[in-house]
Order: sequence, then C-alpha cells, then structure tokens
Amino acid sequence: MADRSLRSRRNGNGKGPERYSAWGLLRKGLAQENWPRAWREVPLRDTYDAVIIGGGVHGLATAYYLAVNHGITNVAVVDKAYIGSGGSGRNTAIVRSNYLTPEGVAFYDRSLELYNSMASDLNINVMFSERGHLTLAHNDGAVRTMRWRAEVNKLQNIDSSVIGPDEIKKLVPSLDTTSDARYPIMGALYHPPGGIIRHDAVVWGYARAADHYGVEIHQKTEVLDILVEGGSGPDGKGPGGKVTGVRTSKGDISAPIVVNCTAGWASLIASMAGIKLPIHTRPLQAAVTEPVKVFLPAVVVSGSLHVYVSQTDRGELVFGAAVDPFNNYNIAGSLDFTEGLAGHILELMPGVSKMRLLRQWAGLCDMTPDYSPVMGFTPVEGFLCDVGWGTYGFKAGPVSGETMAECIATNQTPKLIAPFALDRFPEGTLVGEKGAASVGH
Amino acid sequence: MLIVPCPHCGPRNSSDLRYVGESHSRPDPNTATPEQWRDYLYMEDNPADWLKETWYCRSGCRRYFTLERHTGSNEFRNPPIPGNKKGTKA
Amino acid sequence: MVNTTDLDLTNSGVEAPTYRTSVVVTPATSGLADGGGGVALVDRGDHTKLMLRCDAGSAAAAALGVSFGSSRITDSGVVITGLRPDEYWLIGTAESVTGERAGLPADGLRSEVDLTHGRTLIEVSGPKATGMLEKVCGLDFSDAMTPRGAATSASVAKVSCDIVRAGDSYLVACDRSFGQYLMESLADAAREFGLTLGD
Ligand SMILES: Cc1cc2nc3c(=O)[nH]c(=O)nc-3n(C[C@H](O)[C@H](O)[C@H](O)COP(=O)(O)OP(=O)(O)OC[C@H]3O[C@@H](n4cnc5c(N)ncnc54)[C@H](O)[C@@H]3O)c2cc1C
Ligand SMILES: [Zn+2]
Repeated sequence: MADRSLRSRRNGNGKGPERYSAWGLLRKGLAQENWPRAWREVPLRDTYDAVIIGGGVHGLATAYYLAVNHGITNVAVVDKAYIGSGGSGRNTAIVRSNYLTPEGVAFYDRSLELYNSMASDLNINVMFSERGHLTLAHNDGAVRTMRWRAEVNKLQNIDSSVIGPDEIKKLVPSLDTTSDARYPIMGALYHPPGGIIRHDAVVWGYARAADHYGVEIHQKTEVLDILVEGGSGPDGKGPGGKVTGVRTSKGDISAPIVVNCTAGWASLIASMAGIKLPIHTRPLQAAVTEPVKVFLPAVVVSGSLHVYVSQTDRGELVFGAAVDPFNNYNIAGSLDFTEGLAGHILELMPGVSKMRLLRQWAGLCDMTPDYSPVMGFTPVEGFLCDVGWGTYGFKAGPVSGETMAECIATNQTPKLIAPFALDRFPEGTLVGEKGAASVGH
Repeated sequence: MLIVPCPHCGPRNSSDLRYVGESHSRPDPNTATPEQWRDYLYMEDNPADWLKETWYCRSGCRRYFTLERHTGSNEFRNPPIPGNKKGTKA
Repeated sequence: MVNTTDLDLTNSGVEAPTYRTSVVVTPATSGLADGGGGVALVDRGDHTKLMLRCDAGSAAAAALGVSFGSSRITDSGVVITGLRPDEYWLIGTAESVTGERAGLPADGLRSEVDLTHGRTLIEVSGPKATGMLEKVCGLDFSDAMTPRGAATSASVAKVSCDIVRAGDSYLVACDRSFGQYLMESLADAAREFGLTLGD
C-alpha cells in the first residue's frame, strides 16, 4: 500500500499543505497571521480523467485514494452546493463495524481501521473517540439477534459481545435498567471499538489532502446531465451505452469516467445516465440538546425504540432515530419526530427529562431494500455508482473511497465490494443486512 | 405532520396511515421473467417531482389508494374529497 | 366499572361471570379519578359488538340504515355504525343486538363476527369529553367535522380506535390487548378536567 502520510509526500512544486500542529496554532495566534486556504478554487476545465459527482465523504475519499493509491490526479469533484452539505455534514457520526453479515463486517472493519489512522494520515484532528457502542435488546428475539451478531463478529476478530443489564448499568448508569420499564433492557451487544468522530473534519481532511495531490474541488457546480453514447434507450442513454462526460451549471466536461456519489440524490443522477436504481430517498432527522456535564460514556442505540444517543465532547446529547416514513426530498423536519424522539429517549433515560433540545435537522438518505449499498460498475460503461448509503454510510466513507478508487484504476471490482454490485437485484442475491442497519446510524 | 387526504376518511395525519411506496403496475406473475419480477420488486423512479404513490389507511378506513404528491413540496395534486363522509351531518 | 381481578372464581359460591372485560381498575387509573365529572369514563366492554361486512349497496346495508361515517341509535338502544366503507358494527346488549340482527334481510352475501370479546369499548362522556379527546387524537372534533352520529376511526393515544359520537357521549373501541393501556391513557388525559370513573 502506498504511503498515505502527508508528511512524506509533497506535490510537484515541493510545497505541501501547511501542517496543522499545536505549535502552528500558537505561532499564528501570536503573529495574528491568516490561515491559508485548505483547498484551491480553480476554474473548471473541459476535460478530466474522471469526474466525481458529490462532495461528501464518499466522493472526496474516492478522489483522495485515486490520487494517493493509484496516482490518478486529473480528477474533478463537483458539488452543487458546498462540500459536506449532504449527509456527510449532517450525520450523527457514529462509526462501528458490528454488522450482521460477514460481507458487511469485513467491509466496515476496514473502514474503522482507516478511521483509526486518519488523523495522522491526513494531518487533521478528526476527534475520533472510541468510546464503545451499545445496542440494546428489549425482548428475547432481539437478544437472540445480538448473540448471532456477536458470533459473526467474533469469527472476524471484531471485539463484540453480549452483556447483561448489570454490566450495562455499570457502563451507562443513566439508563433505566429496571425490569418494570415499559421496554425493559434485557441485554446489549457491546462493541468497544465503536465511537464517534468529527464529521466535518473528515470531509475537510479528505478535501485538503486530495487537493494537495492535484484533485480539483468544484463547489456550486451542479451536474445537470450525463453525456452517454450508444445506449439502448431512445435518447442513446441507458444499458449498453458509454459515458462521455457531464453537463454542469458551469459548462460541459468530457470524461471517460463519471462516478455517482450523491447519496440522497443518487436516483436523479443515475436517471441522467438512463439507469434505474433500487433506491428511495427519505429524510433522516436528528436533534441536539443544550450542553451538560459529561455523563454518557458510550453510544447507546435502541432498535425497538428507534432511537440512539451519544454525548459530544462539548456535552450536548446528539439524538437520531429512524428515517421518515415516506419518500421525500424535503428536509424541513417535523414536530412528530421530536415528540416521538423525546418519548423514546425518556423511556431509556428518565433522568434527562428537564433537558432542552437546541436544534433539529435532517439529511437525505438513499435507502435500498437490503440496507446495503450499491457500489461499482453499472450497465453504462464508465458510469460508476457508490450510493445506497442510507442511514449508515458515514462510517463507510474511507473504505468506500479506497475500494471505489481501486475499482476505477484497475477496471475490476474489488472483492470487498463484490457483494454490493447493482446486478444483485436482477439476480436476486440481496444482502441480509437489515437486522443490523435498520436503525438510522 | 403531513396531512394525507384519504378519499374515504378525509384529511388524516400521516401517522394514521402506512406508506406503501411508488405505485407501479404489477407484471403478470405467469409470464414475467425473474428479472422483470425483480425489477418490479426493487427498482424505483424516486423522482424529486410529482409521484404516484400508494397509501394504506391503517387506523381509518383500512383501504389502499393511490395519490399524487410532490416529493419536494409535499403538496397533493387533486386531493380526493370524500363524498358521503358524515351521513348525519347537521 | 367491572373489577374482576378481585373475584375468587374457584370457591366463592358465586357463579363465575361468563365474560371478563379487558379493562380493570388499577391504582394507575383509580388514583387519577377525583370524581370531578368533567370527563366520565365507563368500561362498556361487556356490550355485545357484532361486526357485519357487506356491500354498501346491499339489502342488508339498506336495512341497517347508515352509511359509511354515520351511526344511529335504534329504538331498542342498539348503536348501528358505518365504520368502514363495507363494515358495520352493532353495539348494545346481547338481546337487543340479537333482535336487530333478526330483522335484517336474509339474502345477499355478508359476514358477521361477534367480536364482543375481541374489543374493548370505553364510553367517554361529560362536558369536557371533546376537549380531552382532542388531546390524544388528531381528529377535528368540531360539530362541522365530527357531528353527532359521526362514526370514524383514527389513532387515539397511538392506538387504532373506532370512534362513534353517539348522543352526548363518545364510544371509543380498540383491540382488547390494548384496552388497559387505552383506559389508563384516557384517564391520564382526563385528569386535568376532573375525572369520574365507573357508571
Ligand atoms: C441525520 C443523519 C444521521 C446519520 N448518522 C449516521 C451515523 O451515525 N453513522 C453513519 O455511518 N452514517 C450516518 N448517516 C448516513 C451518512 O450521513 C451518509 O450515508 C453519508 O454521509 C453519505 O455520504 P456521501 O458522500 O455518499 O453523500 P453526501 O454527503 O450526502 O453528499 C452528496 C453530495 O452530492 C451533492 N449533489 C447532489 N446532487 C448533485 C448534482 N446534481 N450535482 C452536483 N452535486 C450534487 C450534494 O450537494 C451533496 O453534497 C446519517 C445521515 C443523516 C442524515
Ligand atoms: Zn381512510
């Protein structure tokens, strides 16, 4: 594997991005110096080796690994708004690898590994906090599924086990573990390596590093159409066709490779190439409270109650839930979400009843029928997808970037993402990840 | 809360209904190929536009029906108005 | 209110009741009742509830004399409701419901199921009944939208319920397994208005 450290790699002019360090912070503070831009803003050119649509963690990571691992740097990442404006800047930043299927576990575990070394690889403080992750079981069926997941996890060397109410209470004293709770806590899947990370820093870190290697980032550049030739559709698009470029709000670009990393907007981009996806778009809402003294040491998730919670380093409680119940591109959010969320969280932690919610927001999620992504080649040559990330795709950013870059550079599907190919739907070989991925995080 | 115009019950909270999803016509199971059938099962248009979709009035009349809604503005196009909703209306 | 939990059914010498309603008075409900009378809740679980399904255009539907969304009270005191486009309920004492049923035309396809034991039925009355229901149900209870006689279904305290505005009171019915929860939720909602329990 190539050396990914920014310390040892410098671009052509010998000048790398300014190193972030405590000393630099102090010096700049004393000298009242400005910080240089973290990535360039350059005019859009009319041809690239690859165009990546979507400046979220998936698009930026793909660009970064194309440059670092494969030396492909004539790449543009285009985003209709600003980078991180999609799910990547709106998620609740939970990372874990205790999935249910062997395919899922192997994949997310590699991502966790990349997250672990990210701060030094990208020279940015991503505030990764491995604080432990608890998935609560409130009935016998759920306990059984937890045991199943723990065994699948252990076989793949993932630190994951089922613990009982006493141990849960020791780890998280604020949980109501009494047996007369409406949804009694009967056990939990405990995953010590799970935790939270600073999502913006991850996005900015990849952007800054990719830019350093020559990748261009074009914000406020909307893709309006995808140029395809020779396809079976009436307009020459669709299966059998070949991508020639994209039409953007800033002009046409010709490129032999176009990658769809647009999450909630994935179907719209795919339809521009004449491709249908097994995806529907749903908002996922989240909320945050006022900050209080730190009392919640781990990430706590309850599938039965459709709620999960973690406490930030600043002391706010961050809550998430399940996706909205109908297809929607509207992220206004709703009062019934807040009501449901508050009720459910109080079932778990009656002690937080006096806390006030500060904010509520939503992001678009690209949901698939088997709670697994759609990655790799499509029936249109040169048009690749890294979508279907639903409510769980932030944690997958690094490994998706790494494998998508390999897919593009080698023109072959890496083993790790073979189970997630689009043709599993016509072939009927879906991935059974629903049990572990249906709670929104 | 989204208010859904049930053709039988009138306007109802969406939490009283179940969302079934995009309305597509079902291929004939006797003649459809597995690929056609799976296409019907899994593939979606997912437009950011007007969408024909199926709802089930779970807590009300327990009927399935099709409505047209804009997935950006959440407006319903030509919302149905129940005919004889309240028989003894004063 | 019928309180059956205290009955010793084995050797009391009293004949065991043939029917137990799904609602019992627990400290959770009785503790909320101050007899204020703003809202009165009565467990009517022992009423006979006959579900009848037939086409809205059938002779049976015509004889029932109600359409979807409406209800009427017969001379024998049976509440006949059109709860769904093809579903009607007859609610009353066992004899009176049997009597009304006997009067229906025999011809035509229909199904009848006695769901007396399957459904909880709570009568909600009192000057604040409407205000209390508005707390736990999304329906518009104004006279224009839910006039006297209206029959409809909606979620009440998150439970799917049938709701009939019968005379001065409301009949609220749900599946039996949710009955206790529904009674406690209604009692809780009624508390601020002054709650009277029982009949
Ligand atoms: C509230 C919430 C909580 C979540 N919590 C978690 C969690 O705890 N853990 C986890 O792993 N995942 C979580 N997720 C899911 C995660 O956020 C997403 O799966 C992930 O961020 C997707 O990243 P992405 O790069 O694929 O897409 P995004 O970050 O959504 O980026 C897509 C980009 O495409 C751009 N775009 C769209 N259309 C066009 C166009 N026509 N032209 C140009 N650009 C376009 C958009 O502007 C956007 O920036 C959560 C999501 C939400 C909404
Ligand atoms: Zn209805």
